Amino acid sequence: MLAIEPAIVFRIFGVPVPDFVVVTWVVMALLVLFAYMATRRLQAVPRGAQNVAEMMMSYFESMVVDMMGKSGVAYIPLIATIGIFTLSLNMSGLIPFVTSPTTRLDTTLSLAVFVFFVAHGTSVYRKGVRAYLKAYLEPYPFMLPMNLIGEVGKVLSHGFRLYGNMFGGLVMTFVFYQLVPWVAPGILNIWFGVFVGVVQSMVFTLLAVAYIQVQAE
Amino acid sequence: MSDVTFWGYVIVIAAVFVGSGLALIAGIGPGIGQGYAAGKAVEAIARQPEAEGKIRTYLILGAAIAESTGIYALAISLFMILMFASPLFNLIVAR
Repeated sequence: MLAIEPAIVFRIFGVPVPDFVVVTWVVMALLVLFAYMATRRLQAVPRGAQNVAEMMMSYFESMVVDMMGKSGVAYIPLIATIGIFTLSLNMSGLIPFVTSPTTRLDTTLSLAVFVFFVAHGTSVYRKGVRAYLKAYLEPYPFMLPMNLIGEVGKVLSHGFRLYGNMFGGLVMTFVFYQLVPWVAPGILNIWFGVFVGVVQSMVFTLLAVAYIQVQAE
Repeated sequence: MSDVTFWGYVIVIAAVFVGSGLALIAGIGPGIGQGYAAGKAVEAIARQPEAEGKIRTYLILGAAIAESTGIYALAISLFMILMFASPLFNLIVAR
């Protein structure tokens, strides 16, 4: 449960595939399957799976448009993907004998690095290379090291926030499992899976929007 | 492994645990900050209940950014245990 080295399930051409990557792939496959089933026969009056999908999309749409304005419409699919993906990964810890992939730094930090590249790519695309590079010399040229550290710190804190909360929850559950092996770990697992999982995936998504928006302006 | 190395490792492991505990003193700051932010948000909602959605978004964003220092402390604490204490502990157990 609390392993430092991930358990290697199998190898593809000598590349080891640890257990949490397999869980991530299963979650991805289920999400793609759900998206395909929900949008297979689109109706003007949605019901069932299509209704759920539209509800989620309109939530993320209002979130992005509230923060980024009309220019953020292009980012709705990306942000919705990040939100639904992290939420599903956090929730996967509720399944018995499955550890949530977000309790590994690899998962969360790679998502954070991905958001970093999207944000800076947006900045270069919208403002041009010169204006993008010039932003590092604001407000004074000698602030350059501060700005660089600030950009790296954003990525680190973005990745570590989700990881720290989910891994902290795992450690708490583990400690309580040693003390009280019945009931209490289950309740804690539900608390950290459902409440902390939902809040932290929302925070992760909100921060992704905020970082992209800061760079886009 | 000689006795001197053994006790050296034991002292290093103890120091790592004490240090990782001390690192988590940083948890005080985010706790106070987030509590203050939540209190202010409740005040704002009490004054203007119709702005609840926007206030909640900014509350969560602010609380998340205030949490950064606490997250750094947690990361340092965890890494000290995982990087230094665990390998030395395994060496001692293997003895």
